[in-house]
Amino acid sequence: MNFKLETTSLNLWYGDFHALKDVTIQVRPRAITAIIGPSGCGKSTLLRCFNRMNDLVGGVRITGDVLLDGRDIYRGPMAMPDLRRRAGMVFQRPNPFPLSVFDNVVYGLRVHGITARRRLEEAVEANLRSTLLWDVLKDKLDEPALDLSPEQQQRLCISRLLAVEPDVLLMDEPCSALDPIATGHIEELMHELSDRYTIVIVTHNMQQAARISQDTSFMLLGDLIESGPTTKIFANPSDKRTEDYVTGRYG
Amino acid sequence: MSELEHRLESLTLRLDHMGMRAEQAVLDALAAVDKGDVEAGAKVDELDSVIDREEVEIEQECIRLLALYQPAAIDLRTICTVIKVNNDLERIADKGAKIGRLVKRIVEFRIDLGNDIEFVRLRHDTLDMLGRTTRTLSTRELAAARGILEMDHVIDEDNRTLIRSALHAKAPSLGVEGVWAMVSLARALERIGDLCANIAEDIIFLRTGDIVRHSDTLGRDAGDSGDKE
Repeated sequence: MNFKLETTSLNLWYGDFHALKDVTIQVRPRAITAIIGPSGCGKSTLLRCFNRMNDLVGGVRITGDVLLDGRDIYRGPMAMPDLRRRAGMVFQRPNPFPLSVFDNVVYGLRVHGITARRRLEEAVEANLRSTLLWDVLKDKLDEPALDLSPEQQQRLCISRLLAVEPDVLLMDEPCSALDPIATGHIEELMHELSDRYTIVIVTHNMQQAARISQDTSFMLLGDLIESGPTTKIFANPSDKRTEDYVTGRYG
Repeated sequence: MSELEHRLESLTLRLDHMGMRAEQAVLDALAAVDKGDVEAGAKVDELDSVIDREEVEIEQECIRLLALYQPAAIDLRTICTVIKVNNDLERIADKGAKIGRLVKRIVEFRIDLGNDIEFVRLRHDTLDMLGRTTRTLSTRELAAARGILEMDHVIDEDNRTLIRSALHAKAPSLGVEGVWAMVSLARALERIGDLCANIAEDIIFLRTGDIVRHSDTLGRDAGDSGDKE
């Protein structure tokens, strides 16, 4: 199988702190992969490796390989804007720009040099439809994005991401600032998007990981302990540490 | 120990007791058969309702645990196993009640089971299998569970032998209704053997996560996923 994302013996240090220890992981294309583990285990650090967001953190040192479609994103020829377009990130707190709904969605397109009005309008409609916002917002495209509900803001952030036609959606606890009903809606959206995009989600919510992902990886203290089909991880994990975590006996 | 662990421990203890009650029901029924005691046989039937109520309560507790705790891994397998074994134990007790009801016909048709070598063999093997099953339910020993699966073929053969004998050699002396009573008794014991095999399969699932039903290997290669204890 050709994996969408892979790491091989990935190590990362924040100064002297060894945050990722020899992590080797494969992410299937057009599937949802969940990364679970206790706080501080390296989940978000690993996620940020997939689009080199850790480059923005001072004192970071990395060894090992990170591949997107088989191409090394740290030592290969892929330009950073291209990488960030292809592997976009959704954060825990929705972060719409202080702009209109329309300008939020097309922001990335304009950065990449696309300015033709008609093209932008088509992109706004298509990507708001993808996140089920079009019917609600089609008459409010000029209104401030910050006036939207938290759920709508998060959907808008996803629309903004989709507008630049990524391959991969990296989601760092995308629902933890949302109420249970909004969380359910975002999870449904993720299901729909997974037909077209590869999604990697970091989550503290084990039930969420079990509900929405096809594959799950468990991390502990910087190590990748076990990866596999989500059903196996939650019904019959191979490693006792995984079992202790998913049954709530850890710690 | 967490609240879930407490409740699971309590649940599996209740299941063990349920196993003992089911085994006792069969023992009491067969004792009634041995003695030709119709009243004792009827009592097994009456007490079956106690086991029926316990089965419902155990199942309700399983559903509560699933709803409230969304258990995973060994906890999930434990609850799934309890649900299935609970049902099989209730059916074993039902078979005991059925045997208890048959005592009247056995007495009525003067069926001499004490000297019937085929019946004695089937009775012995079934009780042996049942005893091992209730013990293994407590100990959850993998090798013991696999051993129980292998006994099912023996029970099946004992049953076939007894029924053949009832239908042919014994038929002239038993008459139609006597043959029917003996065949019903044999089938009840054979069915107990099947249910014990089901329970053994569920114990293997609990320990290894492998479903070995309908497998020709009798679960011998189960545990490729690794014994979890």
